[in-house]
Amino acid sequence: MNSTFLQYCEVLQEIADCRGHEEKISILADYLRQLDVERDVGLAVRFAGEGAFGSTSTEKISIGHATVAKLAAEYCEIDYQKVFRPSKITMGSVAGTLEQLFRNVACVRAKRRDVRLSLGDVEERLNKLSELKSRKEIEAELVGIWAELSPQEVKYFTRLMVKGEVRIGMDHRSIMEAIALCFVVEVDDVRHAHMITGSLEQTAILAKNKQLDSLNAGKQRSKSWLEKKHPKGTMEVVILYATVGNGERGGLYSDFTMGVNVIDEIEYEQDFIPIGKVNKGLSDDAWERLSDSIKPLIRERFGATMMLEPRIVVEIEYDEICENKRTKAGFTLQGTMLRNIRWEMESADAGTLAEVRRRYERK
Amino acid sequence: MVIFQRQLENHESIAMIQIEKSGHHGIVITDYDIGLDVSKDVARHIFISHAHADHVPTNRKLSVYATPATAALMRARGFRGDIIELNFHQPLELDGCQVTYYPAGHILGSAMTYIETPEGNLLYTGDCRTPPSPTSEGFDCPTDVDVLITEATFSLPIYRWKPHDELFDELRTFVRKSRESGAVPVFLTYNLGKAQEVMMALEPMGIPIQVHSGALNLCKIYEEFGMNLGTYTAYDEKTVDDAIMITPMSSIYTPVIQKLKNRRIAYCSGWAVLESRRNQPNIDKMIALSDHLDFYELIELCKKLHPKHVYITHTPNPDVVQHYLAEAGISSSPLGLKPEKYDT
Repeated sequence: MNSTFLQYCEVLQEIADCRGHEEKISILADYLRQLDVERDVGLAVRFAGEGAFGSTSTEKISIGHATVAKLAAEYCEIDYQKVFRPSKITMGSVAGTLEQLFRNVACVRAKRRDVRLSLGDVEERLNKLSELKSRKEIEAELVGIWAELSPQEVKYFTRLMVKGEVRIGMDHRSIMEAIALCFVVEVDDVRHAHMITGSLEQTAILAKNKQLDSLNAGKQRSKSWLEKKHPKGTMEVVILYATVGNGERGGLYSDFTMGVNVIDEIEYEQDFIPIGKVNKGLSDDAWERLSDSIKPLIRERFGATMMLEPRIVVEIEYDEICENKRTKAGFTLQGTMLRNIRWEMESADAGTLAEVRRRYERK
Repeated sequence: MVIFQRQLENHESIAMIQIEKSGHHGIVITDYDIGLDVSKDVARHIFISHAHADHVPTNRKLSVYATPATAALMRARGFRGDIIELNFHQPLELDGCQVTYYPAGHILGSAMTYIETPEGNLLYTGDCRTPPSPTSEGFDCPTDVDVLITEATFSLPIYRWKPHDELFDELRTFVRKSRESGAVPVFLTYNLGKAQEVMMALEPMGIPIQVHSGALNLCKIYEEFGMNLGTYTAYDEKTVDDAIMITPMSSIYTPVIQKLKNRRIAYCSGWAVLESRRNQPNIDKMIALSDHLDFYELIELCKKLHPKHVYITHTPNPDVVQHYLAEAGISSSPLGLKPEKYDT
């Protein structure tokens, strides 16, 4: 059964109202415990601690408090300057004022539709709002959403939408303690998972599925592994440098410097120049095989760094192309991850710097 | 000093009743030598609305009119002057006018003062509540009102109260949950009015209540006038762990409270609606229980009476009320009496 957003808001209010640190943790843990659906657990934790879209997202809704306030006054059929503003000043916030007006004003109650939104529904609505760019579109969408929200819900929806913080007096550490208490795992494991993933939402889901350990088994995934299904780009690059691995990668090579083809560009002496580094992706086996193939290609050593014959071509995916004037290439690929080793490819067929430039221009 | 004379839209001017402010919360009707909640000897006939300190004369030797319950409460609080007791609905003939008390619904004995004169009829609400507090004599008012002087403590549309039975349920739930977690429930209220209202709400639970010493004789007066407040005593350190405490806000940092190892504190007031109040340390629960009328009841009352003019008092924020009254075709102006010092 999906938890309703109303139930969730009532829990948030209970947490906000109580004083004790321990009590807040206990209330949140009790709530999370009775959620069946994994997605609800993630969303409940995300909204409580990481805003509307989570810690790994750059989405936002292009609307501020002032616009919301004016639109709300219109929706409640009251004068913005004469009535809404003094109410908001006395109340202390737009969200709080909306809650009271939605409860008190007859015409608002009359507009309310008989629906019960789930946490997932709210996520969808927040996403929809973030996709809209024109103010008119956002306002029209918001008015439609307001008709679906009860007073308690409108307060928290507004907070999530505009600022992202729900203000219940719980910081990340408290939320992690609630996760640990709820799913009966060690707080340290929760913290560790959070450190690696950077996301309370993902941490909560992992904790629920008893998968916190999987993060300890060696594969350091990029922050976006659960979220990203479509990387921003892929490319074939050549491995130019490797380092001797430490810890989990002891005995292996890692932290590869990627190179792009500049054979056709006369201002560059070399055939390949660095375009960034990659240190993630691939299975343990593949990594071992890659490592083994590097040894015979070592030309020179600079401490722990090995310069290689530019022979091995790998397919990587990346989040974005950044301008970087400090490098020879002028660009770096960010958020990279190894997808595949292209044993059959020739290094001369790897991606070119010109291609990188083209892609950067296109965006 | 404010002297008011109003002109109607078609430029017909009528001489209205002349009203002057007096002190912090008093009003004088000069033509009839009537004082309403005045502090000093500024009028011959002084009518007191209710026994809250803000409305009782500081000069404790004046001669005033008050309802019997208000008189008893005033005496209990140290008033030594003469009180002529005037019952509700019992008209008093004065020189050229008639004065009648109507139940205001705010606290026991609280009254609205209705003055009928040849120039028009004036109603002064004092502090009032409709629907009335269950610890009062109800709310009742005449309909033929030309000038209304009304309190507007809660003067914004963010204030609308839940019905009394819902609020009383909240009070009882707070007691239950506190005791379930082994804590003593403590209610922060003023000794006169709100304290007795909370007691009446909790009476069905049959749990002994301990009150602040300043409330004891006031509670007895409530009982004399027929209100059932349950079992109560003064604060007793030995038995407080099994009781409910009702005590004023001012005692929150005193040893009496601080000594309670396990306690949960509820703050009962219309101001509980405001987020800024929620951030007070030590308070575990806010309950929006008020003995004043909310914004919507205020506008409704004005519309129902539809007076020629409304004076708005007891608020720093009369503009919004004026705006709503203007939309209803009712003229109004602020009469700058200071808002209640007490949290209500």
